[in-house]
Amino acid sequence: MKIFNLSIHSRKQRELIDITDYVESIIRESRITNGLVIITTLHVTAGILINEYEDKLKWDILNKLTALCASRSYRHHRYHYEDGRPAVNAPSHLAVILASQPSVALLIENGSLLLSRRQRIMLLEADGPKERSLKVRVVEE
Amino acid sequence: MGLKREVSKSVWSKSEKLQCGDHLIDIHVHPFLLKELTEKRPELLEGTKAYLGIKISPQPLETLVRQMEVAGVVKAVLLALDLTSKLGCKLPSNEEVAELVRMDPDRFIGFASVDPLQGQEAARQLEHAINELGLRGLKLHPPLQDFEPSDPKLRPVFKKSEELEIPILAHTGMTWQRSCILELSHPMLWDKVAMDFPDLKIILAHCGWPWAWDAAVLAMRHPNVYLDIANTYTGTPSEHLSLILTEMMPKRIVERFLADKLLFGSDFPYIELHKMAESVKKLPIADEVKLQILETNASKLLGLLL
Repeated sequence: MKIFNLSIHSRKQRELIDITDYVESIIRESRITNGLVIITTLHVTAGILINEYEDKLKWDILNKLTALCASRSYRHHRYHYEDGRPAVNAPSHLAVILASQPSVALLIENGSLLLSRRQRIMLLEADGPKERSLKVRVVEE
Repeated sequence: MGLKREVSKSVWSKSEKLQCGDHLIDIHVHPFLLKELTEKRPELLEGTKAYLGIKISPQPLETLVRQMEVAGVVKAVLLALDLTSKLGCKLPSNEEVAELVRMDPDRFIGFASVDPLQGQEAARQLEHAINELGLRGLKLHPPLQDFEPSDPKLRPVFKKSEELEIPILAHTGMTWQRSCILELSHPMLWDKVAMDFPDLKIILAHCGWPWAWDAAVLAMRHPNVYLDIANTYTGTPSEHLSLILTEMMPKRIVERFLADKLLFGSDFPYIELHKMAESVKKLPIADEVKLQILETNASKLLGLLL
């Protein structure tokens, strides 16, 4: 197994970032041709999802998440001694829970990711802009 | 929001006509958890955790820049914090703030901090920070620095600030740190300072909440007292600003008496800049007052208007 760090710097409060090429590049660097790649985010307001990376669809996904999670009287919104600051981002947590996963595993075949023509790996940023850290594990068959 | 208007004389860019409402000034930004500083001086991480209670991961300066872009903030005031006497540390130092400002001087303004209990020595350090390091204001925190604003030992620092024509940004109001004496952050403690130093511009941070009325009457009574709206103590930025600026104080007080005294601040990294900015834009007060809070008041105070 080989482990790689991937850092993604988001630009917006909410956005979908295509990270497929980064993952492909890591697989090539690992020189593992058949096996599994496991991508893990180390965050609670950013997650991973796999779907079509198309402009209007991205807008639909983010628009729907915003509508579903719009700020209400969330009980999370109070001072958190554990962080030493106020929590004001319950909608960001909810968006990540609804639409993404903290970790995904994908197959590697003949040195490439096994994805359909339309499938892309995306980072869902729900509380940006921030620098996000991901771990990518490549496991040989 | 109907926040757009055109201004012709401003330092924001070289264009002759500029849009307002997206040229905000954030008067209250703490850089202590920026990677550019923590990677050089890891004790900043320990200090912020131990003395300020904040335990989030450092982010690169670029994160602050991107939050500024999303918020429409074109200038951010980076604050030093000198806790030498009480805690033996600086979070961060004047030199570190000056270094960050040098990285992007069009975007950042630096405020120094000195330990005011050191009297003449503090005044000398302040003069150095302003004249040699290029910083443009003074940050003080009475409960963390453990002083009363009326203490005669502080007079050299106030006199020097007045002489250097720099504003003081003073923490007032709530602090969650239980190692601090909350009473020291009461805004009314600044009344005599404002009287004794009439040419010294004093910004009472956080509107002095929960003593927002006390802070407000000082701003109403003294031409040299201002208020910043940084941080959110009672919920989301929208909930907290609504509480202070529309519920605790009626809209007419804000619009008639405080319109030219309120300054936008985020308190980054406690709160993201764009969340605070959006909450101001949503307040049910007059659009021109929002513009004053977000842009005009700070640009006048900091001498940025041509």
